[in-house]
Amino acid sequence: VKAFYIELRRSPLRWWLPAFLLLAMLMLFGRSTAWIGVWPQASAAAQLPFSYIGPALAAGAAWSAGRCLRIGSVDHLQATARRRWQVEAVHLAATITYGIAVLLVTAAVAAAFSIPDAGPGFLWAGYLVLAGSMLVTCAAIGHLVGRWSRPGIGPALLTGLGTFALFNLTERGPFGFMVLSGPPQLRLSAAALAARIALAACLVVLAVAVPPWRDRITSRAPATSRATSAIAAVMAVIVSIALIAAAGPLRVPRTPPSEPLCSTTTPRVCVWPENRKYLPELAAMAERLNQLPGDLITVPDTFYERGLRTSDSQVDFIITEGSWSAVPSITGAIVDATLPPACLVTGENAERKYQAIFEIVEWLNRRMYGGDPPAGVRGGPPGVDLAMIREVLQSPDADQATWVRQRLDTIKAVPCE
Amino acid sequence: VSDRLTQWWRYARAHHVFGTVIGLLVIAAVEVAWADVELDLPAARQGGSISVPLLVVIPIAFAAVVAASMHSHMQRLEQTATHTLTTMTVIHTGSVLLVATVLAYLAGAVAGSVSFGSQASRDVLLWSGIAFAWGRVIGPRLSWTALLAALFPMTYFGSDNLERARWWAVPLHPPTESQYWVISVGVLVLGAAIALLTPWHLHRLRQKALPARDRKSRTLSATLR
Repeated sequence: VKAFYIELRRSPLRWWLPAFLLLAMLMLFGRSTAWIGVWPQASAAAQLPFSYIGPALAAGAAWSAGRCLRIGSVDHLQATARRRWQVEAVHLAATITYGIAVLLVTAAVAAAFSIPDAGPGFLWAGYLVLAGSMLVTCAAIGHLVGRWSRPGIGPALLTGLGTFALFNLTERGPFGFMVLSGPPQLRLSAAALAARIALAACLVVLAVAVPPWRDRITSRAPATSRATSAIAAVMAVIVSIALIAAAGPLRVPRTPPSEPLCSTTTPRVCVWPENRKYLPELAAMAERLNQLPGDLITVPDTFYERGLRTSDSQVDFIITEGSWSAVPSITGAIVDATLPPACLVTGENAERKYQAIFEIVEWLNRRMYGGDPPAGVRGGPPGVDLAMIREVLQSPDADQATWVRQRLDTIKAVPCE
Repeated sequence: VSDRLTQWWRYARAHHVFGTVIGLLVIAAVEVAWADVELDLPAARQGGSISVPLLVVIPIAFAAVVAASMHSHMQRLEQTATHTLTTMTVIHTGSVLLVATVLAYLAGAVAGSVSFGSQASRDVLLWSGIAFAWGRVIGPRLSWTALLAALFPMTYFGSDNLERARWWAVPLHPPTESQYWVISVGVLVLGAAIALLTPWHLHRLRQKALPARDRKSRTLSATLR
């Protein structure tokens, strides 16, 4: 234990810790803060900084692991009374501790900011375990490469940039370690998580227990047992990589709750319980829909968030960032209910028809939202004059109804082919 | 002539010549193979993520090797060296930088297109400047830490809501826009100047900054002592 404290104090990562914490805070609050108040989103947000911190930890571990050869204190290491793996284990544990400390602080901050807005529940452990396994994997890879290679900047660069590239590939495929957001419709697959933990564990064993082939710090174990342990550890890593591939995608759809959280308004709006913070705003939007000219626009009686109904309907809305993100799909559902079924139209007719549809869509979006979209959302459907829409929205309801009727007439006048 | 060669050989050996050459070749090979692989990174903008090709990351590795080649096995000894060594350092580091830039260009050209190559070589210049400057502060062996750290603001804050790269996020810009070449070369010149600022230079600068009277009295007291 004493050795562990010494390692903690001596680790070069102690200089990096403030930088890691700053980075984590920048990543929590520098992006959209829509995660605040939604437990799975908050958990995913707390996990996200590790797509940068993990690789940095790998580079730090590699730098730290090469210290004896770099400084030339090999003799000291040879003279220790402890076994080599114990020395390495304490060293790696100190490195990992720095990573875990950042994770805990990030998770605590994410939780503290979410508690006031979010309902019952807490951070989802799965995302935090994912981040933990990611950073242990990175630290172990760094330590391993740092130990096995000649000292210099090579190992740190290789592992830092290598893990950065590896863990952030667009085609994350089955080997993903990171998620960008945590919608309540999805949960982490237990099998996929277990496979990642297994990989992290195997890499730790490999990094700690297996000395390099041509070890300049002589190992006391006989050559055969060293070879056996090396082969066993490498096999274990290969098996766990195969397990990750076999475990399938990192996230799987969640079974919807039997009783979704619904507003008391007419029309009703139903959301996943985790997204309860959006319900008041969505209910207010639903209330505004009642003021639409009812003879022209058909409003469905319930709007569902996607994934709540077993027959997954494409008109169900999704919430990505703020309640505005739900608006286009709600409008889509209304337009679907209002207009006759879509049919094939081409040429000038199609242009006229879609122009009218897009204008109604944009008018509905803003009418329902109760004003302009939030800052950062720009543009609208193609070919729509936004200034004109704004003008229409400010005119009396009767004029707006006339405006809508004109457009609906245009749409109905276009024949199907 | 052979004396000069021996001198250079000694210098190169002390400055990790094999590691440098192998490192540059390996990085070039990686660039040829995977320059166009896309990375999906979180970003502080609408949508919350940004997609960048590996090409943007690879010049960091080149620059790290270039800056690290300033490190020597005989750092302590070199601190007492004369101006000859500074000349050698400039020539050596300059050639390593040149080789890295050319390799980055060629590898990019092989991997994708000429524009790939020139983007990579521009970024090598930029990152090398940063690495030189930081290496002067923390030592050439740890100069890579600044590059790794700079990766975060560049990708995370580097583009706005309309997916336009910000002016300071130079590596995210296409190589056709000349102002980013100017910035890169400027950073390189500045970084190199900082790296070559020896304690003697600093001393001379300080002396010049002092008023003439002070300088006189100080030299006098130094003579007396």
